Amino acid sequence: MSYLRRCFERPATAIKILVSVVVLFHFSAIFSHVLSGGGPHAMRQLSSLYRPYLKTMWLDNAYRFYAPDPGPTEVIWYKLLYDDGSTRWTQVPRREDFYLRMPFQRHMSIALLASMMNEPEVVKPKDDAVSVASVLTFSAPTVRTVLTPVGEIYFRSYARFLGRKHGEHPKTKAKLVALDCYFVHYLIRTPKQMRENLDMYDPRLLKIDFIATFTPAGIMSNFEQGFRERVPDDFFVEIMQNDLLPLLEANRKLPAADRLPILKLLEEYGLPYPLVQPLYRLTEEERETFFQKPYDRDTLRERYAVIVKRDDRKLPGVMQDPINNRPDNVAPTTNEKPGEKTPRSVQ
Amino acid sequence: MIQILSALLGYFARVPMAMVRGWDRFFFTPTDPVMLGWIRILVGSVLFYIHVSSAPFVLDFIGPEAWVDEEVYAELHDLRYHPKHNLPGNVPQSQGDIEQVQLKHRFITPYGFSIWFLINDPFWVKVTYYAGIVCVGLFTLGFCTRVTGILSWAFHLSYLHRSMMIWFGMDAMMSFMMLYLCVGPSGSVVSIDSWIRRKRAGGAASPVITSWSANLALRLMQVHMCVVYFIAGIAKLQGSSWWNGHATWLTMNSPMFNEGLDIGWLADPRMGEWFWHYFCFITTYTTLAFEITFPFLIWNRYLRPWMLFLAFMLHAGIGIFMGLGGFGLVMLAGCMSFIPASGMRWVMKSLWGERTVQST
Repeated sequence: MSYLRRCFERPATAIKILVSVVVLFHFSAIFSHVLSGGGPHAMRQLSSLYRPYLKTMWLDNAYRFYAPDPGPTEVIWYKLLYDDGSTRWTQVPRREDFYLRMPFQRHMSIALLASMMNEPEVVKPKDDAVSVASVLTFSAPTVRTVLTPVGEIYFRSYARFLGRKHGEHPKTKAKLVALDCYFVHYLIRTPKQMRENLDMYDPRLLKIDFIATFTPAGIMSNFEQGFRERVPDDFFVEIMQNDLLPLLEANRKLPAADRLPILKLLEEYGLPYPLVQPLYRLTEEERETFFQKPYDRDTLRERYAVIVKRDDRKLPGVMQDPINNRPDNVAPTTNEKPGEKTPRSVQ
Repeated sequence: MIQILSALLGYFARVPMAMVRGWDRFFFTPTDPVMLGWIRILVGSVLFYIHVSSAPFVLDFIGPEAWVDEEVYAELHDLRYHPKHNLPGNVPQSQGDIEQVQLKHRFITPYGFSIWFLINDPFWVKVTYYAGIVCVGLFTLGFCTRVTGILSWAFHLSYLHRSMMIWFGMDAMMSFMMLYLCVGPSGSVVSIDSWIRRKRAGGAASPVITSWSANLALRLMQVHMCVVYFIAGIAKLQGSSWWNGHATWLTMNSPMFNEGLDIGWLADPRMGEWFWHYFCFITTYTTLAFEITFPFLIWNRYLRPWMLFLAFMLHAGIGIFMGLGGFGLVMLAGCMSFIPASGMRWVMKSLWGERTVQST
């Protein structure tokens, strides 16, 4: 017993050597890993040797918090399509589903980690005039963004999870047949936009990419063209014409006692908050007017643009955006090329 | 000439011995484990909160019908045969190609073990999960700490390996903090174990039992914290927002991270046209300076309190503006390893007159 006690207080040389070797191994593994990302090839090779140890002990984090730049928040939107033609929406994650922050944070990781699951893929040029002209004009092959093989596996699993969770429409009991998946970036307001009174969830700060359609069994389709960017106002108008207006019409036909307020209807429909955020600022009467006929695309688009910009504050003079040196309300992006016209603002 | 050569040889002969002695002193000098006890309480409490708060959603994260369901294992295992992870036409083009493919294979091979790879029945998943939470609770209280510490660490690793896609920075911190708490005698002070020991000794004042493993655990935490801050700092130098001083604006305004905390005052023109810029510039550059200099300045006893104060401010800010309180607390627990045991003993004595007897 006293020997053991002595060992605890003053270790034997053999124990010191053994512990030192373990400590050296441990920290060399960590150093090789933190230096391997974008580092020298030798470090990557070394890191791959340590990988079983680092992965097993969950020490394979590069600790590059908020580097190189703090980015936008990513979420995943799903449009749920049922066999009776009805639709609903859900978002991963939805804050209102969680009382405490931690489980919400866990679900947020699902979406944030999904942002690492895409990669550029070179599109094989077709044997037609347009493709040839494109290659000749830009002297580079066309590139599209696709899910990585790992990403496909996880997104199929997410579709299966949602298929189990939302397998039945809560009201009509219709069966879920497909899920349209969108990857959405919530871009960050600049100080100028904050002064102009833009909300944190203003639709002008959205970047929406359609990824693919999944069946509840996780079979992926409609992905051949890669990620497809959707313009928020066009996207909203499309949803309104195809899905919302029939719902509102049906609601209007109900007896007054059973009729739902528009906001309640939108909440039940589950349309993600940023798309309907401008509607929340309207009175009930204004909302009713907003959904009056005519329902043609241009009118709806114009109406949406008006309510989006309704509470904007005019700033005195022409002010450059201090963060991006941009002259107007264009939101900052991480991958936008200089001079490229962004399609996401509500014009 | 011979004198110079012999002086040089003498120097080179002394360097390895000095290094060995320094290494020995750094890692193996017995120390008071009191800080380890307090770190155990903080880390254990955060771990307990993490799992209790997520308990209603346990089957969303682990089990056969989780976000990452059981079909994923087989699919990930087969991934190495995916055409994208093989050579074009399976014909090696060059040695470099072969190395690249070998690297890719290594990086997509799943490692790690989880008890929930074996237990898949939802009932037993819940039973084992709740048992894990009880274990974490006992570890936090310091009951059978050696055993419950290792079980709590294994429980959390199991949870991460099985759930796969729900981790974030806090888990990376938690995994190494728990590992180091298992190395040292974290249950020998401020714990039920020490209370029982005192009761058995007839309520006499508890002796401070210094231990080399306590020192080893604290040193491992200290070195690891230095690595974390330094890498986090220099990696930020690649980003333009850290150079132009706007990074903290971006972090404070992140949708969904910032839960409705109004920071409109920052950009309010009444505060001055460029107030927001100076505020963000100062906070951004302070963050950078703190993280990059941490591994150098924290060892200086006069600068240490300032570095710890800055760490507190940084993580409090992250907790308030980004809602990452758990992450901040685990980082602060890591920083606590730099507080000298004598300082903590003094605080304990001042607060509740703690009685201890120096045994060494």
